[in-house]
Amino acid sequence: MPNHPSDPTTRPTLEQLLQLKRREQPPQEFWDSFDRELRRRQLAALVRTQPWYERVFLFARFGLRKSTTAIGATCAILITLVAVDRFSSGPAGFAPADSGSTVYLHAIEVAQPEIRTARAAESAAPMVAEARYAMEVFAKVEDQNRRFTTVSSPKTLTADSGNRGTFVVNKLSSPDRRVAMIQPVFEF
Amino acid sequence: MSVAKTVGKLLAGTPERKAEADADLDLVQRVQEGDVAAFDLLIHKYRERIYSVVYNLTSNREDASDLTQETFIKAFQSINRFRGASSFFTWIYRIALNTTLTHLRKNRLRRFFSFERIVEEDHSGEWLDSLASGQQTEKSALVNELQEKLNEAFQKLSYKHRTVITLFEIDRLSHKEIAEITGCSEGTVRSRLHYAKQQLQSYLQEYLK
Repeated sequence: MPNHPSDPTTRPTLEQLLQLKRREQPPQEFWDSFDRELRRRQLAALVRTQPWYERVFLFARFGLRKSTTAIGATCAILITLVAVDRFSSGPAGFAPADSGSTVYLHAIEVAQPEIRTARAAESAAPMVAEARYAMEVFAKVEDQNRRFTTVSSPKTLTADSGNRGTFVVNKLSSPDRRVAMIQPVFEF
Repeated sequence: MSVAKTVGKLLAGTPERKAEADADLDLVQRVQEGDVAAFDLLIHKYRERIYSVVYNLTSNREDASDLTQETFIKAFQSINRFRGASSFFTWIYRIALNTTLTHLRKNRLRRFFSFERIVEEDHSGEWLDSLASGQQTEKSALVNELQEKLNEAFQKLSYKHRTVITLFEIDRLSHKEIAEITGCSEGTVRSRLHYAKQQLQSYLQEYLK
């Protein structure tokens, strides 16, 4: 170090060096160009196309609350379609454990699902939603109407690139130990 | 007003600090209601401090300028999600630190330094004058060399240690504020600060008393 003082007593302390570091500042002209460039980038950011995950996040935050009815109706239809398809195909969908009794699906109704997004985070995070719904199944057992009601436990859905979440929501059990698996599709 | 004076004023007392946070929150609410110009006030209030922090973390003025702008753009894009759980000050510092960390990770294999000039102030009675014995050229050369060595030493520190020493020694934040920004305990902040100073002392051994 050519300028380094040979006498150690005249060398700076760490505190003094840090004081020097505090003085490293840009000149005033720098801020003029900084402001111009920032303004340009702000405008560019406003007009750019948002990637899918940002759109999903925004929709989940602001769109879900407004479209709960539509989502509920979609779910009800989808569940019904899936259930009818499975149950109409016989024992594969709704297999009787006890061969002495016969169960026919009479109707299935799904209450409007309650969907909540995860607690609003102040940083961008993967979007998750929690869904809970009530389902009533009306089944005819040997000419006696039976009604099974079930309420799903909360499920966590994570939006994928297709902004759809599919998962097994329920395992439906009756006193006759008849079991059905239903797979509704939630649209985000 | 210099950054240090602004910070000193800001941290003068808790009520003043709270008043600052309330004023920021008012501005944020104005932005959330559509008054975009209010965000300019926030930029002007924090740009120098954010720039200073990012510059000291990167030791590169071009990167610092770019990352500071990126910080404000991210804040602007996310401001509707700001609910005031923390102060705006803490929030924007976190964005700046995360943005810088991401940048450093991406570019860890190609690092260049470019330094800001040292602002000349009244040096009378300071250590620098006594070292340079009045010769301006000698003093400038000495200052440049010390600046380079100090920045090199800073960059040898881990990101966590560099962050803590920058926020404490350069930005003059309190342990509590640093703890809030970095999401760790005050004890951890003190410990990191102690270790960082020890490391700097060790790296700069031959240049220090």
